[in-house]
Amino acid sequence: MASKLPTSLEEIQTVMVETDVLVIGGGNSGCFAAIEAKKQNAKLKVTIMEKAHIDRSGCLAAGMDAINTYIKKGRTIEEFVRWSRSQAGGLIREDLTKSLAEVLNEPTEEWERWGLPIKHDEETDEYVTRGKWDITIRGSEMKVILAEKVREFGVEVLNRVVATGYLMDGERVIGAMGFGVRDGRFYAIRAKATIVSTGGAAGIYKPYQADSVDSHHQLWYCPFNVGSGYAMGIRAGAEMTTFEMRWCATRTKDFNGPIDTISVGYNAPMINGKGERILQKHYAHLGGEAAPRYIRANVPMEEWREGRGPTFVDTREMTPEQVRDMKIDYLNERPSYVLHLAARNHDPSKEPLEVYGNDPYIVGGHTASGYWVDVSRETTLPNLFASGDVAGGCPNKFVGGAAAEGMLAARSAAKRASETASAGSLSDQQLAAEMVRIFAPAFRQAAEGDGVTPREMEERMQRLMDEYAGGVHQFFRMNREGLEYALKNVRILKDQTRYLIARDLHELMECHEVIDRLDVAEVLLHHLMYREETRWPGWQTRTDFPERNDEKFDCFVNSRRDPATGQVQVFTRPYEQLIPGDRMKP
Amino acid sequence: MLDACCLMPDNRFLEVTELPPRVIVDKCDGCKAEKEPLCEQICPGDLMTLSEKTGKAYCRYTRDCWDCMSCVKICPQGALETRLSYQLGYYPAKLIPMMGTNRITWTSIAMDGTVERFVVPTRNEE
Amino acid sequence: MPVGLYFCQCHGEISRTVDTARLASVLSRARGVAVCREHPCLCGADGLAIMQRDVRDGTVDRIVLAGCSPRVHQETFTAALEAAGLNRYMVERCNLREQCAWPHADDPATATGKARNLVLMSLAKARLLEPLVPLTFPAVERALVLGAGVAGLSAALDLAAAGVEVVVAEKEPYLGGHVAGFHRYFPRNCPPMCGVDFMVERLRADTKVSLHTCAEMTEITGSPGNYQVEMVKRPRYVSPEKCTACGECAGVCPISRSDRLGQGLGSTRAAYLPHPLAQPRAYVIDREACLEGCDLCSRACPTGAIDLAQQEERFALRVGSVVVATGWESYDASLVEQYGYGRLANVVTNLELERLASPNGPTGGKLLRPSDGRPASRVAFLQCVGSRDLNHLPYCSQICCAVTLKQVGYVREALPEAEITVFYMDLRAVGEYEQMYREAQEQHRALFIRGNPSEVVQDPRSGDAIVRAEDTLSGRQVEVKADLVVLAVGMRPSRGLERLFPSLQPSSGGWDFASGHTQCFPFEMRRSGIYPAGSCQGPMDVSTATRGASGAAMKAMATLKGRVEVRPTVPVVDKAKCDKCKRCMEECPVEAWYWDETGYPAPDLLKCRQCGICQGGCPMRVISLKNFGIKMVANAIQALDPSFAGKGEPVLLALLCANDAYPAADLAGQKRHAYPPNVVTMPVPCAGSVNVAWVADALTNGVDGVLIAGCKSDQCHFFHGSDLARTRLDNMRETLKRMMIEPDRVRMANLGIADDAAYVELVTGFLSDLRGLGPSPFKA
Repeated sequence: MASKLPTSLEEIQTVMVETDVLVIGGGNSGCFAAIEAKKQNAKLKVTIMEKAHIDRSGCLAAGMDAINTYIKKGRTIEEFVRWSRSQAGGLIREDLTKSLAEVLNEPTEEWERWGLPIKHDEETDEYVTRGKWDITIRGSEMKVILAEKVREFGVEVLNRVVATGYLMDGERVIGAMGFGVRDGRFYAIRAKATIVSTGGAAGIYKPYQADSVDSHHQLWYCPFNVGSGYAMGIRAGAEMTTFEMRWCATRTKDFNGPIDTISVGYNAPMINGKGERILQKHYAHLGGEAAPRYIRANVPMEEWREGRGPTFVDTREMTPEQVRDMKIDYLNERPSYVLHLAARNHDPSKEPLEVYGNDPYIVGGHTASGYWVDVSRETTLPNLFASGDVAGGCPNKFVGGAAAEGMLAARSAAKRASETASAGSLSDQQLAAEMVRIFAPAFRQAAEGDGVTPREMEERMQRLMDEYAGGVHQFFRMNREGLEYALKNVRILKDQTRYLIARDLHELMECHEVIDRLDVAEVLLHHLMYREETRWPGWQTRTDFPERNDEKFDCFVNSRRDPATGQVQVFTRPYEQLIPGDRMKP
Repeated sequence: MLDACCLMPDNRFLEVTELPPRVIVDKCDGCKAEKEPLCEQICPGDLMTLSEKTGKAYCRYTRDCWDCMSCVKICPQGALETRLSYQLGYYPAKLIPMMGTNRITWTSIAMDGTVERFVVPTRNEE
Repeated sequence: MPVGLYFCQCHGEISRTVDTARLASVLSRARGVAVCREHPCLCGADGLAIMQRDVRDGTVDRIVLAGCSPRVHQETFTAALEAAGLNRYMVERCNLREQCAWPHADDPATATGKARNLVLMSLAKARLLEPLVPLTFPAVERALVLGAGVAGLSAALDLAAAGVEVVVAEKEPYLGGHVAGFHRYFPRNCPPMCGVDFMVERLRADTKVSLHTCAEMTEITGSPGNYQVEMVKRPRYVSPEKCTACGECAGVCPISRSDRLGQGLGSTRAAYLPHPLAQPRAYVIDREACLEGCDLCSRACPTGAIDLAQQEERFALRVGSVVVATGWESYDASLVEQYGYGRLANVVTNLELERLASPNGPTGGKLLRPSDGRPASRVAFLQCVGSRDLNHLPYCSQICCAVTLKQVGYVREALPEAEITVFYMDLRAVGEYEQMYREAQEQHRALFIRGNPSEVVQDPRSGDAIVRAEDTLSGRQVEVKADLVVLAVGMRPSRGLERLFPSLQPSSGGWDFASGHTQCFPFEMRRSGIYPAGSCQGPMDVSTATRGASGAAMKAMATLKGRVEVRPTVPVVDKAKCDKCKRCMEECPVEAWYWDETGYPAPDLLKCRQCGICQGGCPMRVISLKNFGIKMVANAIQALDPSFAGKGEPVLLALLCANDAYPAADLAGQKRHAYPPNVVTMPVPCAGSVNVAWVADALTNGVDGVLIAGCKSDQCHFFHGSDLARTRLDNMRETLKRMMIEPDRVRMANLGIADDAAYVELVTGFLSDLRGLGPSPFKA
């Protein structure tokens, strides 16, 4: 049961925590980071700050059925980098990808040792492959297994503590502040090194199935990842990259669930309402069935727009055994999809599965959006490291890569913590200011009893972004005028956050979730406006600049918000090619 | 603030025992817990909680449920059942996990009553 | 981890039905089996020697003994193997005789198939066995006795005689409890202070004993062998060491207050001696009755024994056991409204009559009517007041009849011409008290009327009490006038018990006494190391109380020997997996769980009874009893091949509690009752130790049905293990129903130890039902 909401500053209890390595976000990446930090130096105190419960928090709540980044025997790091590069429209940080590939297999193998069932080929004993870089796992309880190991390694876990802002000592990040969503206390955690691994941002855009009653969180991505890590960094002046490379994918219609399981695992082609094989028929020039991800992602939207919808993944050639295997895959990743099929009497071997695009997410595990980091995973804020979906520049990480990046960040963070004598000084002013900012909606409710609920604001923001910033209803398309309109209203919403009210601690968390999302949305809009080209149709379709413009934009679009003025500056950084070859081809 | 019902945006109250996730109130024993029942502890969306009035669990906002089924898996009484919203699937299909020591046995019951069962290993310990 | 697998032919008892030769041959190749032997008689010298040799040679480090029931020859095997160097916990017994060969003599082929599976299950368990040593905890050799009535004093004497340091704490300022206020007690009608004095003198002479009056326990924490007790000693304001009981203080005291020992019938000064023979022989000042600022008594005291500013003293004590002798109190007779107690002056309780009759009492032993002080020449006794009554106390208070018979003697002695009437429902003068009954009728000439009076009223002019009743033997209405009406009111445990040890035992049907499980665990409450003695256990006479006190003292000795040994099959928590949901704490029948310094639940191994209820209820499956853990049993269940009984034949897994159900199954075999071999059994410590995940595993593996059998609900050796198993299974059945699996595949049954016929009927019926239901949906 949650405690009573404090209605004045005096009522707020403070919890001060001192630690060596702080990990913000106890999802897949954060848990691996925490364990790795302990492995690097068991004497270090490592603390995880998690707003839910690490046993099931983040994207792996229901499990996962595959590791989509595993370098199998016979494949090389170079191949991996070239493949990832080609899937990302030629725009990745090759140094980050290379360093990731070097440790990529370790987390998966460790997970198996801890108890995660992975299918082995009976003859070779290798992992059973599903695609080029994918292996099948039975991961429905993998997060629980990971959380157990976190505790076994002696990591201090603060469950149900929401992170709201970094603790700063000048430019350095020396920890984080937040509040307990159960105990209503103010938390200040000082650390010698901090890792942010809060995942990506969902819920910036309106999902199409959300109606007045239900299905508000029928998302592919974890709806509880709202981009708080991005927002905290944005507010503290960290440099971000490539937000405009949004993750818009083909997903099962309505359920908004993963489809790669089927299209990759079972080679089921996409067809339209006329029964045509879409990629073969209309996208042969872009690679046909082997077209890059963002092409495949945009396909259903284009077909609908052209009047050739609905669109499907053609599963009618699948054998009953394959259908069963497919369902078992789903039971390991999004079990309610099996319920979805059952609730429609849908036999995939008789009827194809309908697909559609999803509401756009910002997720650095799939695309390159996130913190701008160096090879050690340090961000532009000293002593702050980033890993997983919140870290940018390195797309196609997925579960295995996010875990591996957690390890990399932890190695750097552990080294930094071991070499740091003192964590830095706290200022009472900073703590007091954040305390006021955190509990403002509660105070407003106590004082005025009137204002804007976070749900109202979230709905407004979501529809705004959907209509003007290339959401599903606009088939992901946008133009400058629309983006400017969106930015204008996002700025109004940000100003309006001072009217937010919270009537209990749950609602207080919702207030901060919408505040964080708005900060992400603002930066996102700047990025979308700046890149005046269409590099990844679907992910970033500018109707006013429908072609790619390599001359101006074959580079990274980065941004930084000035903490003093609130101004978002957008600029570019050059591409650095390490591995030769055509960047558009694997 | 809100008890065993859910305040909808249009200010209607809905009995959450019927919407996903469904709590079978006769089986729920509030986890005999000091602070939080297991479903409240585990929900990644901070949605499950204990009603002070009835001493039973309920979902605060069913529209925000992600159907991850963490609560269903952890409930010691088997008192929780996931349903899909009507937007997504017809009634009365079910998907029920039975937790073994190192596997989950899933039963899917389609709209027309067809039953399918899947045994999925969850841990590979010896 | 080499396993030694030994098949006993049991002189043909097993091998006639089960093909042990073939099994030994086939299973010698089973995983982990280092050596596999067959022998006609493993419990004989030769058989034992063979196993011992394998142990000594290091060929095996654990043994599966496939032969007779684990309930027989326990010491034979463990002693012999231990002598050879095998830890006694490394032996897994596999029951091929009582629960295989004997009941399935008519189907040797399937019996052998069943035997094979039983052995595979035992092998799966054996692989995870760990050598265990008993755990020893240091214990404090000091006992605390709460209450110095006859039971408390008796227990203290016994404990002191056994060489233990004893602290006795009595909340009143005098020792002796209720009997100190009696006129006489049976069976010999002695003056009670004689007995009390005798005990007190012997206790005083023992240097290991310390007696405290005005003392109470305020808090107790810790575990058996190591309790931390907080005590408070309230001020007497008089030092017993200095007081000579000269009475000068009472002589100058201006205040009169109600005499508590006299049940409020008389009064004393604020400075008073509880009674003339009080132990300790020291005055007490009732400060609450004092005049503000008055110190007449302290100035009058010739030895300076009075300290009006005395404060209460608090002190802490470490003790190994506690004997609780907090005694009884009368049921509130005013609740039995029709008898007018509290309204009518001349209606008194039997306890009050003791004071009236006592020469030390408020009337100096004269039986006078409270209303006007006239001698009571007509006395009526009413029995079963508040007892045997669903509206009041549903039970019989056992001694009120004998007390009345004694008190009839008081009346006759005090008033040779008195008219004495006794109204009764049934006269319970058990044992030698029959003699008292005869005396009451013949010598004391009491009139006995069989009838429960409907009411007692008072004649306003004369003050006479009038008792109205129906004489059920003659069928006539009677009205008896009396000067004194004595209510033989029932007994309840004193309020102190509930306050000190709340929720120790749920009261059932109005019985609040700490009687415990009188057959299996007498003198025990749900807290180990705390033993009730005397009338806090139930209404009883003095002889029973003192004898019982010895029993409690004996039990208390278990944790007073300087160390306590605990069997090592204790529950262990995997903290990495624990979610702190606290269900283990809530469901433990003896409240053995506490929060440890890391914030996780931990069992107090001294309180734990190793029933495994915690393991059964844990939703995260993180608790395992050593050598009977979640994984071990899951592995055993998964080793069972559900097709062993043949095509189309159902297989039933039965988890039988070791206390009643498993022995009943053994008995069925012993009597050679035949039943189908399709049932495979596994003993469990308690039905409550079964985790539903095992049942899920069994079903998913293709077993057609699962039976959990425990003790009968009110006979469960661990209080509510059977009931918990039933609740959990009911929950699972509801889930199975929704999953479209017949809930009837999973059943709970309650069996007593001699219910062999019921067991046979149960499994035969279950198997027959399973045939009807068809094979499990998971069967390959």
